[in-house]
Amino acid sequence: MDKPEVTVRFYAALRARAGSDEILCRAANVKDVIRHLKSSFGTDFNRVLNSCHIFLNEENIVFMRGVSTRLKEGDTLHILPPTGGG
Amino acid sequence: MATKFKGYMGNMLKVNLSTGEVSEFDVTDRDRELYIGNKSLATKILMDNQKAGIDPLSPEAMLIVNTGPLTGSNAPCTSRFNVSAKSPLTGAIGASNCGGDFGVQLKRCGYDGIVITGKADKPVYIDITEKGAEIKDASHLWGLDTEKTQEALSPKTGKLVIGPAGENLVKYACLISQERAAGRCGLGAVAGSKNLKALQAKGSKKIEAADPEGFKKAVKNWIDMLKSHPTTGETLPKYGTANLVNPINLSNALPTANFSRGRYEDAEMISGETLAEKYLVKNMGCLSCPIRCGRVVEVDGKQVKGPEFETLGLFGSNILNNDLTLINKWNRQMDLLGLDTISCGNSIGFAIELTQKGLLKSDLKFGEFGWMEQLLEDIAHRRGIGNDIAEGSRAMARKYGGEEFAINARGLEVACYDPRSSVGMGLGYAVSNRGGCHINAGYMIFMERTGPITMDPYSPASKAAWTVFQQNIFEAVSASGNCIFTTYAIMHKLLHKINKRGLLSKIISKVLGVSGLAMDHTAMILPWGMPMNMPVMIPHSLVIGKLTGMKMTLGKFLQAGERGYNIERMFNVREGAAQDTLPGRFMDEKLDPKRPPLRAAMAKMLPGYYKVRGWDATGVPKKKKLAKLGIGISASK
Ligand code: SF4
Repeated sequence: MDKPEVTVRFYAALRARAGSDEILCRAANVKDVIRHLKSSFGTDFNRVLNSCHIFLNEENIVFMRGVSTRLKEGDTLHILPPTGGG
Repeated sequence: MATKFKGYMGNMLKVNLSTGEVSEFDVTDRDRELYIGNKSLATKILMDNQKAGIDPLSPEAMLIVNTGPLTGSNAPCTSRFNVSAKSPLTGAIGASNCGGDFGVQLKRCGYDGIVITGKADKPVYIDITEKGAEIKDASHLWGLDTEKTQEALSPKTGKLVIGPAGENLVKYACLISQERAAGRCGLGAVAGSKNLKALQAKGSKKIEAADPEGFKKAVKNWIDMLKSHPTTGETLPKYGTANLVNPINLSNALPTANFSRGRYEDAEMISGETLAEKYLVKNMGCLSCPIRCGRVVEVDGKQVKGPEFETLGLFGSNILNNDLTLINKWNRQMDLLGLDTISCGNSIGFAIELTQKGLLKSDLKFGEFGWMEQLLEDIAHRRGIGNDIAEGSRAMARKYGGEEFAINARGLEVACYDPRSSVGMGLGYAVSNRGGCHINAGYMIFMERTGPITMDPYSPASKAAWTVFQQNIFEAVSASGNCIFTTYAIMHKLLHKINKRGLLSKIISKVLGVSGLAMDHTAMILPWGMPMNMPVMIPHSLVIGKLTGMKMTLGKFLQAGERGYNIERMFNVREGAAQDTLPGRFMDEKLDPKRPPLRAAMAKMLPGYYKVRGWDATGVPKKKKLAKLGIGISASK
């Protein structure tokens, strides 16, 4: 069976490096998505990706099962670089 | 020269607007060493020279505009000057920091600050040159907006002005310098109550360094560090503070419909990314700033300052508005009128909910804004319902009810972070000396949600100690005349390279979570326990030392921040404004049904915070603490 299709949304510095707001990707869990992203974009993207916060729909994956968190069809992963301001 | 230290000009002015008398105001070198400058030193001046319990809008109230040693020194981000007074909005200490050009020019005239008392019998402005200060007629300026006022004053001077909101004593009126605001605490109303429309300064004196070569080198390294850091070198220049909309929304902390929710479905439409893609003309910076977090957008065919994160949230999600064009427009209108966008937006959100609940009769509604432009004018001119909203949310709640959803702390409208998703922010808002201010609170959301290494945002563990640390360092940075955004580099750029999902990140996060025990004792070892400088993370102390010739160390710097925070607390104790509470909505209504209410975490954090601070169980600094800090004030309430 095909892995579920999920939307991956990028923010701030990552968006600039990916050249788009979002992509679609087939992945069983968050680890699959990270693997896919690492092979799709350049090293500069990957460097920022390492330090990013990842949200599945509306929950930070640190409150779920981390990178092992399973994905379902139609999920959205939000990937955000650390940030500041105020 | 009235000081042995370089970096300072050594003189302060005193102007009595009732009598027209202009004189020198003495500050001792001991106080310079203890309080550094800006808000901390201003509070010391208020404590020593202003009677307790005065009406902040009475002639006897003092308005202080002052600088820090770094102001105008060419160190990065050092245009910052300060405005302080007892706040007419809160009754507590009022202090507001500004990045306009007035502070630099004031120092070039040979003055570190100006203390203003009395009330002029007609509108005036104060004209400062190297020869001193002159009080001049401002009848022709009264009624003008902040831009026209600045245009009507002499060209090439540094200016600080109020708009119609300040003239009409709106409790959250601000002061404007260029397009930068001394925004919070209603200090524009204090100027208005004195019939003081503006100050201008122009001079050519040099700010000297004690060790010019060492200073130059340290400054160069600091600028390089800021430019190569991911936050200060990329995120803030590219997206401004608006970069926070999306992360704060995903963190369930973006105020939505008067803080009744933490997520807004249209957040992307008002985000920093959208602002950058669709509206940004260019970025801009305060003088001497390599970060340049300011936005320039076009409103009515004119290039003007764009909105900050706080304005996007409080005039966006918090009133269910997804139209950034409108926010740009209202932001401009408020700057011209001289209104603090945080208190104004928050108070409007409250008025809408009051209306929705049938407690207030008005046409205000979430999601429809045909009324907004007129309302902002009405607030600034105190007309109709605008007159009530001009008093702020606490006063409105006293009149109309709804105290539990009047979102202020100590009477100051809370900034754009919902603390139920970042409990350390909750603690910070409650204890913050100036009230619901994210900066004075310690900005724990960075440690809990948005920074490179974060702690559990729902756990009270270690939050008291980290809040104290953050508050002290922000206080010291502000006192020195530097922008607090330079502190993002405290999280060294290498921390941004750590794999967030790797073992090291998890270990650091866990260590932070249990570090409270060790952090609790930091204050005990200051200043002798940190006899060095640490320029790779906190260059401030080294640079102050090189500039002033003070024997500054990291320990002394942090302790100066602690001292500033304590004297501000003593000001509040003296004024009967030291109750550390949050509105009922924050304490008892849940944002996330799976989490306990914030009240549970607060019950653990607050006593811990007082203990770390060396304050008693009611939040009053103990005599021992004051003695250690050299604050010679009675600790009795
Ligand atoms: S970082 Fe932003 S607010 Fe701070 S000095 Fe620079 S431009 Fe001004």
